[in-house]
Amino acid sequence: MKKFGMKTLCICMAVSAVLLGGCGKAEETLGTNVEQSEAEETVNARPVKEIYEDIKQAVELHSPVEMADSFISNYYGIDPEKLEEYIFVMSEEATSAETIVIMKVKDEGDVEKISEALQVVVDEKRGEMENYLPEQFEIVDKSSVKSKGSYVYLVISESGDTIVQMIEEEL
Amino acid sequence: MKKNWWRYGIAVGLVMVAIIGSFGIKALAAGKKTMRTGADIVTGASEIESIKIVKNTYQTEGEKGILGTPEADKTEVESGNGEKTEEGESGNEADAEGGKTGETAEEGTSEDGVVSDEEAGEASESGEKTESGEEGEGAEENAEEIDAYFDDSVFIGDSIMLGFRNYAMKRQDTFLSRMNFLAAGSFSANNALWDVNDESVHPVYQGEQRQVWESVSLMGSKRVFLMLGMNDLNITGVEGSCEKYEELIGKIKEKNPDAEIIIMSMTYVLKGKETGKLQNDIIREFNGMLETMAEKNGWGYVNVAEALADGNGDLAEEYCSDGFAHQNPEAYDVWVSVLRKYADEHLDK
Repeated sequence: MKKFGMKTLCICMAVSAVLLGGCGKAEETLGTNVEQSEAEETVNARPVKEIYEDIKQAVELHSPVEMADSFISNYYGIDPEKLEEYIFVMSEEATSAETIVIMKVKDEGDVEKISEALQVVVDEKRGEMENYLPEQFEIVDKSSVKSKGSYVYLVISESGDTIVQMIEEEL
Repeated sequence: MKKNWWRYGIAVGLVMVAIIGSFGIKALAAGKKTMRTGADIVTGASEIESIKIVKNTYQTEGEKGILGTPEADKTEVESGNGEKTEEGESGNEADAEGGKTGETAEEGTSEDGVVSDEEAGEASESGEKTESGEEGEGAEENAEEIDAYFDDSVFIGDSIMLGFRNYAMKRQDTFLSRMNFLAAGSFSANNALWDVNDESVHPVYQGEQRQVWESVSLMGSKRVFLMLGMNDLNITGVEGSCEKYEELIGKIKEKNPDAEIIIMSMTYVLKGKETGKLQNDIIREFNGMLETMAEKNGWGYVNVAEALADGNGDLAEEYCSDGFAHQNPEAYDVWVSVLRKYADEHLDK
């Protein structure tokens, strides 16, 4: 009887060991899947220009002008080489403070520097519109520079909440 | 058997734990595949093709025609733009008295049918073709010299100039890409002389607010165009504003002795929208004093105001974007023509 009991116990332990060993493989699979899903998420992260195209479809913008490398470099001291991709849009109308900026830095360590540069944009617009166009000043005052991972973004717009939400859903 | 029931229980329990545990982990792994991760910089990022913003070459054949012909004048532009509808925008009530600036816009009507730049370009082209046909090869040669005239130039001004900057930014594949800008809404000859502080509105350059003479020095500009006054007249009147203007130019020349100075006339406001000292007759008087000051000091003077005026000497309605004083792309097309004509007349300098 004792032999039977010990044998049985040993068999059960062996079976358990086999089954739990399979769990280890499942864990490895889990780890691999996590890495794969993260990679897939990155591959699936939409280019900022596509996000901007969606914004244009959803919201009526005021004569937007897409600014080029020389503009962000000369006026705001932003080095385009530090960006993986970006969109920097201002209204062509001098009486509109509307601005949409989405930047993805190559090195996440540059997020703070880019955020500071975009804060200059906010401060500039705020100074221009104060005592000049109160309605635009209020729009600027509600805006703020935000960041998420390697993305830094700024939206100054009467439809700011909608646009920010659209951006955040994509990042 | 009864004595060993506990052994059987342990064995069965171990097996069940092992089975349940293995299925549970597998289920967790399957669920992880669909979870959204927060971080986005992983190895897969290298697989993403970098996307750079290309230059916004909002350029049509028609616009090239205007921008490439130094002799294009107001008449030419108007005839090309004959079919346009007016673009108007609502704005805030103007603050006639007091305040730092005079640039507040008034309530205006917004009209439908804003003509796109493409349509504007095409319309302009039809009006311009005859002239290029008549001028032939001489105009093309001259066009390059005129383009080069704007190398290392900087345009300093208020929101009216800011509109020109934005117009230029949309056309960076033309000679306009040679221009630098130091423009800000509510900027004036008065506040241009302030120190940089929390209330100053100096145009930003290289990521900082700087007094314009510093920015001009950093840019290495050799030609400095200035258009100010809109935010000065209600504060320091005609003579006082001229004095501030001269003082500002003095600062620019002190820091940049080799820079050529060209004053651009202040532009008019829409008829019926004049406010405080922003009356078109006063603006005319101010422009006259600026022209005299420029002549006295050997500076250049560009009269863009008259090119944008209607028969009554007010800002032509077709060039106004906000029912007050700010201008639309058609107006800036005229700026281009006037500036190129000025350049053509001063090519030897």
